[in-house]
Amino acid sequence: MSERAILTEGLSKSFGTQAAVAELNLQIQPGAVYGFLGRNGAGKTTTMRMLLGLVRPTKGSTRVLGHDPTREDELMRILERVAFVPQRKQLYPWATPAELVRMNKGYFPRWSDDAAARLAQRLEIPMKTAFRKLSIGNQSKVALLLALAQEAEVLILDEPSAGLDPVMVDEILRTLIEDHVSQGHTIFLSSHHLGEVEQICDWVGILEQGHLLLESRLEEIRQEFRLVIATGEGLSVASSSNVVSATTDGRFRRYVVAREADRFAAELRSQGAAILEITPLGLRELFLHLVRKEDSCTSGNAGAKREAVSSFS
Amino acid sequence: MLLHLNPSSGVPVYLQLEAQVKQAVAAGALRTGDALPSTRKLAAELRINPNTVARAYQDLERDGVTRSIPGGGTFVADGLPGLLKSEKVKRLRPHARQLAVEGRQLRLTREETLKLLEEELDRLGGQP
Amino acid sequence: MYVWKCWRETRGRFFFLLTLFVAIAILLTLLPGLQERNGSLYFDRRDYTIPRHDPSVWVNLVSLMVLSGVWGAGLLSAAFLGATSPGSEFETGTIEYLWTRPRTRASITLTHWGVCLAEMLMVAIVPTYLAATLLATLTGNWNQSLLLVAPWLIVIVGLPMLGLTTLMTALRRSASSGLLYTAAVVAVYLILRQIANGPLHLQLPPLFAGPALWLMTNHRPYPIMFPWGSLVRAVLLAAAFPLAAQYLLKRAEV
Repeated sequence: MSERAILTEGLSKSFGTQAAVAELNLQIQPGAVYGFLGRNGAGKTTTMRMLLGLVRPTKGSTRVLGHDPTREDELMRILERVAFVPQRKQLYPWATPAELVRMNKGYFPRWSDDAAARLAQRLEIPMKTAFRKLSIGNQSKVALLLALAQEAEVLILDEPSAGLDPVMVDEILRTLIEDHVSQGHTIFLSSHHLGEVEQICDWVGILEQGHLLLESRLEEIRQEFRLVIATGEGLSVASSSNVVSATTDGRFRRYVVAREADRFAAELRSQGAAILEITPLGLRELFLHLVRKEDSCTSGNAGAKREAVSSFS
Repeated sequence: MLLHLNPSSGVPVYLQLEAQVKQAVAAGALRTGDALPSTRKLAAELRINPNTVARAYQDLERDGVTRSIPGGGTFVADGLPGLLKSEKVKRLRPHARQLAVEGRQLRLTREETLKLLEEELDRLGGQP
Repeated sequence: MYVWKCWRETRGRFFFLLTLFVAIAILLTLLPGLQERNGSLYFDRRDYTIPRHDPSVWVNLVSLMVLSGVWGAGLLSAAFLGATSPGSEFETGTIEYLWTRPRTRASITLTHWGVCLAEMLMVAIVPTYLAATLLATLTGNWNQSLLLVAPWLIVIVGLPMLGLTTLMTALRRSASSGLLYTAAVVAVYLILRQIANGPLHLQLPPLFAGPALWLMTNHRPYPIMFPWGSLVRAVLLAAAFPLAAQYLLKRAEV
């Protein structure tokens, strides 16, 4: 087993009695582009902060590039090789982007002036304006610039495209693919822009209230995951491990099945159900099915799994 | 290269890519020996993961639409030299079946369905 | 580059403090010679050049006047500069950036303190040495020992304050709140001291300001009971506060 870029085992964090992250098990391979999805407050930012030593885990362990971020000496090794864009993209108000670049550059021997210049141009960043005078969008872009020009092996990006207009988001995606994915850098990002995640990621993990509900290759989601809609009386709540979520909507039952949907449908038919539809799911649909709370018309997520449906086994 | 994607169409990206390349070849816009852009370049242009492009290119090569050379690079292949006629027919049958079924469901006559097929073949132009 | 960042961040305050105390020092040096005639001010050098029985007495008098204006330079710069210490970056929102650079938290806190110390030294030295040079030029008497020793004693008073401000900023995770708490701690201490010395008749020696006070109240720099205890306490506090701040921040979570 090759060394994982990011590894967490039973990672948990509680703030008082509130559990922000619970028993998180992540294994992200080098070179993967992993989309970490979840509603606001699901625990994505806390997880990322734990990876970078900003927050200490309550339980469990984590390794980034083989090093333990809770030990300061090892944390330094991590920070030399990992680029981070925090959720709050605030930098020194008195500094201009040019000064920020100059300040940041000295920490990282692999810094690329070319990449920085190219990115500054692509993102249309006013390099000589004080940070406090920049718009929020421009401020975000500066934070991205500082991270992306670092040429780090691992990029941890917390909502990198938040607040950016579509043209800028496009430029970010282009830079990520051109300068990072193709160099084999690992990207661990969280985002609410599911469309963009679907475009560039090869893995997704869906977090809800600190628990990882699902982790899968995007390709599997496209090829294997199916939404099965059936009607019938007295259908038992599916106990198959392939069923990721099951909801009831009046007479209809909606199942999200991770694999072998046809076999599952056959089983339902044998119970007297009528199968109305077996369709593939887009990422947005899958996400909403998994994390949406009770709808006024549905009786809720009966049988939704709390353990991750992993694509490893 | 004039490839575009419709991310919200519900069709997986790699399938869209494959379909577009096949269409371009069928219409003569891509000719035998033409080079396709590298995986990296196309991925960057389309803002998608290079693995997705690689997947599409792999499928295209498996289908005989393209071939790659050891030094790198993907080129349009000439026809499907590796496949027997029977194989080709087998590949096309599901599409034909679907056309027949849909035509029947829409209550088109046999003549109308066949005419539709001929019109599409004409539109492609190129070889008869 | 972190040193450069600390400098750039405190530059404005530094120049303000420097200018302020240079102005005060020069003004006070020239004050004895400022006369008024017909509604306008002019400078009369005579007082500086009159031959005197003991010239150093007059020089010391002027020096003390200057010191009375700049003795607070250490304290003021400690407060102004110390408030920018890393603890304040929680409030400004830049702490996540700072702590994800490959530098240990200890080096971040202590480097910042070091830069502030250097700046405080400048603010203590430049005005007093300028005043000393000016005074010597005017009087022709180059024995300025009082003013030449002064900066070091100013710094001894300022250092514990710098440490305290750094610690309070780290505790409160905010510059303004840190300053407030520093002022509160100082106020409480002074009140307690008053109570101890007054009604309780305890006659406590100065905590760490002894050397500076000694300088101000002694006209000759002979070691008449130099308050070594106070000096030791000053050094200990100067070290203890930033180390405490460093410890707090090392364990802190964002």
